[in-house]
Amino acid sequence: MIEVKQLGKVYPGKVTEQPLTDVNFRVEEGEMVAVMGPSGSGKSTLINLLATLDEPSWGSILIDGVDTATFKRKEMTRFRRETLGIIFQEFNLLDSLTLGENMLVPLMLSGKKAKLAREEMEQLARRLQIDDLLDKQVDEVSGGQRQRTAIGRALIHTPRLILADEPTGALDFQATKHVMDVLAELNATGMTMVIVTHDPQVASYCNHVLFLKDGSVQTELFRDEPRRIFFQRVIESLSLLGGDEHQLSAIRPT
Amino acid sequence: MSINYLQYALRNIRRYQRLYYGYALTIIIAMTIVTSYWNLLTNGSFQNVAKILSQLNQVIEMTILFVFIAELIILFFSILFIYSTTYTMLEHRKNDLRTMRTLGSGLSHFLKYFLIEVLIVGGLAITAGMILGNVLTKMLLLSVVKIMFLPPIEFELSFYAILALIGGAFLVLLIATVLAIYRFRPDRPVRSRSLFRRRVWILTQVLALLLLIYGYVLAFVRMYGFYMLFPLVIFIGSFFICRYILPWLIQLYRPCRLSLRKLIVSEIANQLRTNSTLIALGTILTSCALTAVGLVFLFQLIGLDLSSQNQFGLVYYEESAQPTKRLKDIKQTMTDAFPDRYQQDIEVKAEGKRIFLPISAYNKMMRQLHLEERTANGRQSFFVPARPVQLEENTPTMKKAEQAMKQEGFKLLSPSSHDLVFGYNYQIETIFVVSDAVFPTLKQPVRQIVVFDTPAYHDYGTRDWKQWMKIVRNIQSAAKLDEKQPVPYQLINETEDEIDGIRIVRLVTFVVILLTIWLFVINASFLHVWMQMTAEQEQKRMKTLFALGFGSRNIRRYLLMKYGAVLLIPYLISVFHAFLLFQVVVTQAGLEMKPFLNLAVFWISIVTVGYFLSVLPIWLRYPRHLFRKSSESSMYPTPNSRV
Repeated sequence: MIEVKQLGKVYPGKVTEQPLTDVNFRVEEGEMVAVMGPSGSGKSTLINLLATLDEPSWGSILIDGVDTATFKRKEMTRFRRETLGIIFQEFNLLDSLTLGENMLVPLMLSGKKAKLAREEMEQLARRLQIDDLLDKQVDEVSGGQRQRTAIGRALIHTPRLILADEPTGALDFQATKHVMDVLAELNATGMTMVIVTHDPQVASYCNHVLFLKDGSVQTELFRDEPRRIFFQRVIESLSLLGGDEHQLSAIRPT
Repeated sequence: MSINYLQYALRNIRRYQRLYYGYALTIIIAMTIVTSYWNLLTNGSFQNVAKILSQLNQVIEMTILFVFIAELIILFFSILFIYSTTYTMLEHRKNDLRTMRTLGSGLSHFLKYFLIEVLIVGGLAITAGMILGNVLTKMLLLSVVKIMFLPPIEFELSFYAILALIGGAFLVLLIATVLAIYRFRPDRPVRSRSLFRRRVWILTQVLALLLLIYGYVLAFVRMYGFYMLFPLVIFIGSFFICRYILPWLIQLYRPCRLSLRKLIVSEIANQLRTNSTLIALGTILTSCALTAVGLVFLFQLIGLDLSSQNQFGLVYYEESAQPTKRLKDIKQTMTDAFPDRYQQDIEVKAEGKRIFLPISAYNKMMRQLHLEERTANGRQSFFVPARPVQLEENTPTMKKAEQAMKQEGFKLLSPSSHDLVFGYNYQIETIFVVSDAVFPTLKQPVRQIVVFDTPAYHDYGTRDWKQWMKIVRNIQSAAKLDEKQPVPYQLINETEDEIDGIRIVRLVTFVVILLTIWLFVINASFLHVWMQMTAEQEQKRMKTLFALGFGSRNIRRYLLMKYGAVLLIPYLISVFHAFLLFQVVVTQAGLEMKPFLNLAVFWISIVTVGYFLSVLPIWLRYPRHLFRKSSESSMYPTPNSRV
C-alpha cells in the first residue's frame, strides 16, 4: 500500500536540520507497522511526510502506486479526509468541542448527514467504551479517555490507513494496553497502520517494525512468532542499535 | 448530538472570546463613528441647512473634506486592525488549525467555519456600532446645531444610505479577513523563506532605510517635501528604531554584575525586536492622533485669522414675479431686526442658474453701498462674481455661461471686481449685468431678488455672540431655512467670515475628537490582542524567574517596567516624529518656533493624557494578572492563562 523510496527531508535555516537522509521501506495492505528510533531520528518527520502534511526534499512516497508529490492541494486534502486517520501523542482534541463532537468533526468535513453521523459515532464510542462520556468537555476526562476519543475521531470515517504518532506516549500502562488492544482489533479487520513509538511493548503488537537511526532505516523486523517473543527481539534490536534506557522510555521528553 | 459548521464556529467564539473582546470593541467604536459621519453626509436636512447658511460654501466643503479624511483614516486602520488581529488569532489557534488540517480540512472548509465565526462577531459588532452610531448622530446633530449656530435639523435615515453603509462595512470585514487568511493559509505546508524572498526583504529594508534618512534630512532642514514622506517616515522610523536602533543601544548597557536591571533592559530589547511591526503600527496610530490634534490647533490659528469685519446681508431669491407670503414674512422680520437698513427689490431674468440683472438695478445697489457704478450699452454685459474668489476660478459652469452669453451675441466686458458677496448656491451660480435696453427683450422668465442691507454684528452694537445669533435664528426661522424646498429658495448672504472660521474650527475639533478616541481605542485593542498572544510565553518566563529565586517585589518591578517601556516607547517615538512635523509646519508658515513651543507642549500634553488613559488599564491589569497566574503552584503555564 505504501512504498517509500530514497526519502529525505531537510529543514533549512540558521541551523540546517536533516532528520531524514535516505529512507526506503514498503508497507503492505493490512499490515501493522511500528517505526522506532531514538529522539531526533526522524520518526515524526516521517509521519508528517506520509500524512502529506509536509513535502519531502527528495525521494518519493507512493500510496497505492501514486506518488504523493503529484497530488494537488485538493487531492491531498481529500486523501487525508477519506483515506487517512491520524492519532497524535498529545491527542490534539479540539477543546472547544465535547468528546462526541470531536469524533464527529471528520464527518462534518465530509458533509455526512447529521443523523447517520451520530449513529456511527455512538456505535464507535460503545466499541471504544467512551459512550457515556460523549457530552463531556475535553478537560473533564482522563488521558486514556482522551486518547480513545482521538482514536474514535481517526476511525469514524473508516480510513484505509491509520498513522499514529506516539499514540500511547502520554498514557499509563493500563490505558496503553487498552488502546493497543483496540488498534490490534482494528488491524485484524484489515486496516493498515503505521505507528511511531518509543515503546517496545507497543511495537510488539505490530507485525513489522522499522528501526530508524541517523535519518535512515537501520533494520527491519517481521513478526512470525508470539507477541512475547517478538517483544524480546525488539528489545534485542534496540540494544544492537545502541539503544539505552532513555530510548526505551515510553514517555518522550517534551 | 451533532456538529455542523455553525455550531463549531459558535463554540470557537466562546472558546476565544477574550481575543474577540478587543476585536468587537474596536469594530463597534469604528462603526459608531463611521455611522454618525455617514449620517451627517447623507442627511438631506443637514446638507440643505449647511448649503443655505454657508453661501461661501466653505463650511460644507470643509465638512465633507474632513469627514472624508476621517472616514479614510478609519477605513485604513480598520482594514489594518482586522487584518492583523485575524492573523494574530490564527497564529494563536495554530494547533487547532493543524489538527483540522490533519483531519482533512481544506481551505474551503476552513473558510466556511472561520468566516461564519468572523461574520457572527463582526456582524453583531457592526449592528451594535450602527445602533450606537445613530444615537450618536442624534446627539451630534443637537450639538452641531448648538455649536454651529444652525436652525434645528431633522434626523433622517435613508434606506439606501444604511444599505450602502452595511454593505461597505461587511466588505471591509471580508477583505481584511480574507487577506489575513490568505497570508496564513492553514492548508499549506510550512515553508521556509526562499533565498529570493530573503533578498527582496533585505533590498526592501535598505530602500526603506534610505527613504527614512532622506525623510529625516528633509525634516531637519525643514523642507516642504517632508509632508509627503511623513506617513512613511513614522512607519519606517518606528520599525527601525524598535527593531535595530534601540536593541543595539541596549546592548551597550553592560553592568559589572548581572542584576534585575540588566534582565529588564534585555527583556525590553527583546520585546522591541520581536514585536517591531506591532510597535510600528501603534506608533502610526499615536502619530495620527497627535497629527489630528495638532490640526485642530492649526485650524484654531487659521480660524481666528479669518476674522474680518465684513457686512452681513441677506439676498432673497424667488422664482416668481409675484411676492409670496414667505417674502412678506422675511421682509417683516428684517424690518423688525434692522429697521433703518436699506432694502431693494430687483427684477431679474433667469435661465437655469444664469441670472440677468439690469444695469440700473445694479448701479442703484452700488450707489447705496458707495461702490463704483458701471455702464453697459447695447449688447454689452459683464460678469458679477457671486463671491470675490470666483474671479480667480474658472469652473465649467462659468465657462459654459460665458460661452452661452457669447452665442447670444453679448460682448463681455471685464467682470466687476468689488468685494460684494452675492448668493452662491445651486440657484444662483452666475450673474450677468446687461443694459436696460436689452433686458426687456430677453425671453427668459422674470424672477425677483430682494437685497437686504444688514450690519455686521460689531456695527449692530452688540458684542454678545448669543444675542447676535438670536437675531440670525429669527431670520432663519422666518425663512423656514430647515425645510427642504427647491423653490422659492433663499440665501443668507453671510459674509461674516468669522462665523465660518469658527464653524470650521469647531467642526474639525468635533471630527478630530471622535477620530482620536477611536485611534486610542484601536491602539489599546492592538496591545490587548498582543498581550493575549504572549501570555503563555510570559508565564513560562515568570515561572523561571520564580524558580531562579527572584522575589515577588522584584518580579512585580520587572513586569511593570518591562510593560511600561513597551507601552511607552511607541508613544515617545510618535512624539518625536510629530515634533518633526510641527517644526516643519511652523517654519514653512514663515513663523518662529519659540512662540509656538508652549502651544506644542499643550498639544502634546492633551494627547499624552489620552494615550495614558487608553493604555493604563492594560499596563496595570496585565502585569498583575500575569503575576497572579505565575504564582500558582504548577510548574507549567495554566491553560487559561490569557488575560
